[in-house]
Amino acid sequence: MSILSGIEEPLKMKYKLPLLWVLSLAFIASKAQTTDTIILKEIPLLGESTLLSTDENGYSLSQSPGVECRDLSQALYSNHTTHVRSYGPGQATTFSSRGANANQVGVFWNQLNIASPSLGVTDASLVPLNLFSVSQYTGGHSAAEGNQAIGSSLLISSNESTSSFVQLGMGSFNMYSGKGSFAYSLGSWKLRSQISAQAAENNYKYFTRDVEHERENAATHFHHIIQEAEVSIPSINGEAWLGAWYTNALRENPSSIISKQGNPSTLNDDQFKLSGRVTSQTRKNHWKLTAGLQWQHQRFTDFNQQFKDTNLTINSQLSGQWESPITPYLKIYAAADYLYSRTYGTATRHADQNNIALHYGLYFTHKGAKAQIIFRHEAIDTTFVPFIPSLSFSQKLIAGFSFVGKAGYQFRYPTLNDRFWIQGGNPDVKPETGYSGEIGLQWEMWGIELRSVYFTSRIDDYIAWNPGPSGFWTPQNIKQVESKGIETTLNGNQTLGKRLQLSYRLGHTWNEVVTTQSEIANDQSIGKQIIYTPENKIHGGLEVTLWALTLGSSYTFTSETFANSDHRPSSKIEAFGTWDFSVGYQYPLGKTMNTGIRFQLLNAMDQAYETLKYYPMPGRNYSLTLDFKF
Amino acid sequence: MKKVLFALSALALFGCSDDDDTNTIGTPGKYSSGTYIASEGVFQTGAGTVSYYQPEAKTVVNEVFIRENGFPVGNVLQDIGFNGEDAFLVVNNSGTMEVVEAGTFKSKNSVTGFTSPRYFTVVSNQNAYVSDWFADDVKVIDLTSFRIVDSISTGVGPEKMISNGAGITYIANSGAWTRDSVVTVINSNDHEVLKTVQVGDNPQSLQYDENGNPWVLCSGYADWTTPANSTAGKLIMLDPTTHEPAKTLVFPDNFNHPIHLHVYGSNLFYLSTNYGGKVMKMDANSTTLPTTPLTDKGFYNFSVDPSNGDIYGTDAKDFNQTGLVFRYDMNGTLLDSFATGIIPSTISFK
Repeated sequence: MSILSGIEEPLKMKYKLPLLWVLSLAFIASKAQTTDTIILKEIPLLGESTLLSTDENGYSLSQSPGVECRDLSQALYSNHTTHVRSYGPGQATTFSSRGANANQVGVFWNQLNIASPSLGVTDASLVPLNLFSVSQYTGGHSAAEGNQAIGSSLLISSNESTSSFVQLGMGSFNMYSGKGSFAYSLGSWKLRSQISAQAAENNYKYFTRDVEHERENAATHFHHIIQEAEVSIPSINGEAWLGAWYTNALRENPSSIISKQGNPSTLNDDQFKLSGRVTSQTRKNHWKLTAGLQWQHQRFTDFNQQFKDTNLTINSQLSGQWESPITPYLKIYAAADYLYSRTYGTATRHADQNNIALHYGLYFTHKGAKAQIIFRHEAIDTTFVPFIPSLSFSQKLIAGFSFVGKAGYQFRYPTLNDRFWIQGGNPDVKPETGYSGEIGLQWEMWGIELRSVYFTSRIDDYIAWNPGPSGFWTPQNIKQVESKGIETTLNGNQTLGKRLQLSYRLGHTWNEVVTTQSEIANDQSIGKQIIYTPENKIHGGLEVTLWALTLGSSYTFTSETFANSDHRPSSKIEAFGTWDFSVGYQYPLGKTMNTGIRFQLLNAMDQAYETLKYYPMPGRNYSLTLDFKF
Repeated sequence: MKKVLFALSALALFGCSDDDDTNTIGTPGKYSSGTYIASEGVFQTGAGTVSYYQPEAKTVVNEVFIRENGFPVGNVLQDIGFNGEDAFLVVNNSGTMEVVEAGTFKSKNSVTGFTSPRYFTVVSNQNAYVSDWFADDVKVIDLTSFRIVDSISTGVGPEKMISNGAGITYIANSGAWTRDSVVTVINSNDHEVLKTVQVGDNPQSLQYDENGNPWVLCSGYADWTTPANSTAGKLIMLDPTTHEPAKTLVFPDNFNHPIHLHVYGSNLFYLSTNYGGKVMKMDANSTTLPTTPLTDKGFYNFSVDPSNGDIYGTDAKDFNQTGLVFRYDMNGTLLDSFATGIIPSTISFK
């Protein structure tokens, strides 16, 4: 029985309300002033990964050529620098990068780390991709971004589009969606309102023992509401920005295909985020104050309705940053962060955690050379994180080439579950620490960027849960993991003639990640690739726009992985590749309005694959969207 | 001949290796007697497996079921039981029980209709019981048709069972994720509940001693929210006629939860606590509990070979890689060790 069948009437109401709001806002937006209605892009300060990363532009996940992705999990899958683990479309999805595991990647919205403070991971299915601008910066950024920024950092920022739109969609497996984004002004305030609703049965076919089955208990239902507002403050030569983001997700949890199929367990997520910043920039000083709050409530009901678990967490952040030029070539910055986290779960003690961080650094730029050094000190309650330095540089060479490099110490402090889980939480478990570095070449000319870097990292005191002396499972610092690899990316945008535009991306990552030390007796995982981490990933995307017609295609290849740490043959997940195609047409309705239709065929070759053992992903499927931009 | 025996012995001295002889797949009687290890597999994302160990030859064959049948048995293989020429594989998270030919492990049938099956016990020539945790009942299995023919309500979280084969079956109600403290006594001729007996908190396993007295090991209640409210385990001998407690030994603290009771000769064996307890051994006539463990190593699960008293303990390591089984003699001397599947758990003998 699907949760959607049980809530059909409320579902219809839930669709009616957003659609009414969508239409109302569309009417208001069409009447409101539309000049200067852009939410200004945040001006980054030195202490942020956009400048610390050797790839200053990062990988845009929201504007990847090929096909349009519905949510962050789809975009991360279609990206050679990340690997996702997903229970199915719209289901809980975590991701990793450069050998770091899912709780060693940082996801930040206006500097607020949006990972669950109790679980330590971000569910990528809960981030609606095309309502934000999302960029990934690979490599470690702990000195600048703080906790978890080991494998990579994802920065979620305001939608850069200057237009408003309404979009309706449908697709395979009874998928329906509606979304709207409206930019308008009220007085001196510039606002953007965004809303999205989506539901899907996800009853796709899969095979076991050559018998076709239909996926059961995999229905999902999402709502997102985002409101942003910005105003200039001439007296301080700055601006203020406020953002509010609410997400509700109701999802059935499908069992693995070798487990009992029957009544579904369900996961109900409510997340509310509030963030704001005030910036001021003069010739001598640039400062920013940022505040953020995240409230997450997750409720789990098992398939027998006999065991319910609720997890309520709050995390908040208050930051102040300042920078100033010392010389024409040298800037200094300093920042202070205060973070507070609290959990109220049924399986964790009511517990809270206070973090204070100080970070500061220098930034040098002169004649094609850039260098940045940052130092960070952080305390978690009474535990001091080791001194975290980081250095990055880039040097322009000849003929469009640049030499880039970065090195630094990284850390991840234990989650609230690690410290306070009932029973077994270990308040004394130490933060994971280690180093990472990269060195490479970049070439940029004629609208083409080619970048290849060799990277390496090591994480000590790797936290793993194991049965402890009392018989309870408890987190312990018992492993060491080393990673190395080469990440190569080619990006390009070309305009040929008056009407033909090409954009493309081709990338390959080779990544060897092995356990090098372990305190588990007879640990056979030493020297082997860690679980669910492919050694090779390839992605290519191409988009051709001719007049009003857009054709896109993309291909993603993931090499084999293993579900067991000692690589038992029966735990192998075979390598797989998937093709996606899209065709779209935009029709102008006036000077500033147009309508468009887009058809996408995903996994066009009907490749059977899984990213988690015994959790098959959909075969060939389609989506159709109709949008109206103004 | 002597050279052949010497060569075989040399192989044995260097430990065990998987028998990879695919020519013997399907050979009648290949797995007809020996030691059978049920490895659970990682919850949801791993298949359970069967390992077959021959202690005389010190050889082990892993992944027996999938070798013989070409498909995985399911998720969380909990128990392996036998009745004549049939073997019964209870698969907890798949809600099924696979019936195989005991000698070849070829699949004969798949029994569905369970909620969360745990353990298998033959109660008569016609029937067996399977405890069903989340259903709070035991399913009655017809041993000819391999179908569920009835169910008997029990307490919360029915776990291990023992039957005298003459109409009396005891079921330990472990409390599942909560709490219970009763043993259900069933007339296994008509599948009716005879009595509900109050014992200690969370009874987990039962055995008959050499005099035919039933013993129940109660793990005690673990209060994860307020540890001070946890209760101590108990080892209780029941009167086989009245079924009431006749002798009770209380464990000394509330924080160790003994588990997995076994018997050999006049001795009782159990693990001192769950997830890594050491094997404890005591004489059934003793009035005090042992304080010194028999083994130097702690185990996830263990069993005792009823033919010779050898002790087998399982090591699940990080619960995500090949586990190990250690074999000791009944005095605690290590005899052998071998690799099995992921999370080796229940061990059966035939």
